[in-house]
Amino acid sequence: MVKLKKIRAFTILESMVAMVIVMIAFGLTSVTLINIASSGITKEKQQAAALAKLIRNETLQESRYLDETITFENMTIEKMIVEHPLSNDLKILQMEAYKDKEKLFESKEIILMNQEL
Amino acid sequence: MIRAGALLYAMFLVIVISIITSSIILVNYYNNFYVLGAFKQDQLFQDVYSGINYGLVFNQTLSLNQATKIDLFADAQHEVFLTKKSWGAFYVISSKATWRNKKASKTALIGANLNAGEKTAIYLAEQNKPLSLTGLTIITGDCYLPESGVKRAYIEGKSFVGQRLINGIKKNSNKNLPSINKELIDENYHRFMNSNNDSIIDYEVFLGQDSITNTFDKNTLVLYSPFTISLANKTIEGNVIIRSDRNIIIETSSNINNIICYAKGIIIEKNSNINAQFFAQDSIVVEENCQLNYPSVLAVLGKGNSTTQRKISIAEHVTLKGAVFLYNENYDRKNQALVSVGNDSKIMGQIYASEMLELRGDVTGGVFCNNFLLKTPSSVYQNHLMDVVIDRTALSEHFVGVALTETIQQHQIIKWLN
Repeated sequence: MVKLKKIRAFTILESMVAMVIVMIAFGLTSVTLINIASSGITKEKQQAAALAKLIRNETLQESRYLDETITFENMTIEKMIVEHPLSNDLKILQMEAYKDKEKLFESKEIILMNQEL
Repeated sequence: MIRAGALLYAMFLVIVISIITSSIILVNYYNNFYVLGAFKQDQLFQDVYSGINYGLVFNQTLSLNQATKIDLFADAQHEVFLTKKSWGAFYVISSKATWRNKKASKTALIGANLNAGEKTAIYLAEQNKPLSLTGLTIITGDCYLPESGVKRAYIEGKSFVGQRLINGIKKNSNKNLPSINKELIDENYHRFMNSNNDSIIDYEVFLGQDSITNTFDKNTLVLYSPFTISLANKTIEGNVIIRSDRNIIIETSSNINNIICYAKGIIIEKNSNINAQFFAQDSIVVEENCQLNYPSVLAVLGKGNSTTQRKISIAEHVTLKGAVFLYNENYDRKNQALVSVGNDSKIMGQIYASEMLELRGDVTGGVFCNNFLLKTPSSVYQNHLMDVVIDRTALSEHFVGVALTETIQQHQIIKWLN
């Protein structure tokens, strides 16, 4: 006759405490992961930067120095040519990228205008 | 008392979850760090280019050989250090920006945009003698000439065969040539004797070396010798000055790029193909078939009295893109300074001769001289030009040269040096 080995079961209290601990751990983890995913440099910000850079390069190559608003998918890039406070030969090329009114990226640089010869 | 059997499993699970979470946080942190670094590097380069553009416009306000901190947008977020130093007849401007351990820098050789100034084809000082043209002489552009004007001449069996004497507006010149840029003269004359913050090394140390290169972000390397220096089978490039108390001879086998030579006399041997600036106190001789690439400069800066004739002699079939200028402080009637340009030679840029100019080649650009000299086998003529083309209008709108006679505020990049 085979003698069955007795396995000691957990008590309900024991199991519940363990479950609470695991749930707290899972909860904290998900909060942390969500925070990480939404903070820092998101993919959207990277995409906005790449798009702004592309438009900036095109502007310089084609000397297209005028204010423009470019919409790409659900992102808006605003390009502004601003007067330089100290010289008429210089302008400030300002790029800003938005998604749902949230500013994702911005850059500024001084450009030399093609002087009339 | 609660038994802790199930808690053990729970703790194990918590540890696993925390390891996974911390790994994800770490990956995310490094990803952010990398992307932020890339963003910042891009921004640094944009700031550096902005700095160069700023320096081109405010070139006059930047002090020489001194780093100037510029807050580009007055927000303390975009700061660059601009340094300007003279490099022969031009300037070198460098812009540097840093953020934490990241750095970006650009250096450019800059000069004056000649088209921002007056577009003069000829400036011939008023010596009460008209300009006489003969043979196939074509002059295009505005000219400052003596009041007696310009006329046709018949010499050596040749008469003027062109359509019009001058294709441009004639204006009256003054008795004296427009004075040459004093700062340009002083800055380079000083270099014959002194070297600011440069590293001076005896040229003999480098005699055995085939190649010498020095970048523009370092101190200028001055190779000095009290004796004559002969450059043969050597490649010398970049931020290097060669200085001799006697002569410098550039042999055909030498390959020099961007450097400056200062000496009493300079000889460039025939068939040389180089790009450099040459400053001499007495004379420069360029032999046949040489090619001096843009931007090259030949300059004689004569201060004080000299027993010999100060001259720049350019032989036949020479091409030079840049500037040729001769400045003689003290006029000596017996030993008049002379710039001569041989047959079939082509100068693109400017020629400034404070005394005589013997011109037989073609000039795309402007010519300034006290008087023209024409030597033929039978005679010597004053203020005569024979078979010469001077075309100011053919000079590119974007040609960047040396502001020889006027202060040109508009500076442009000649080339990037790094």
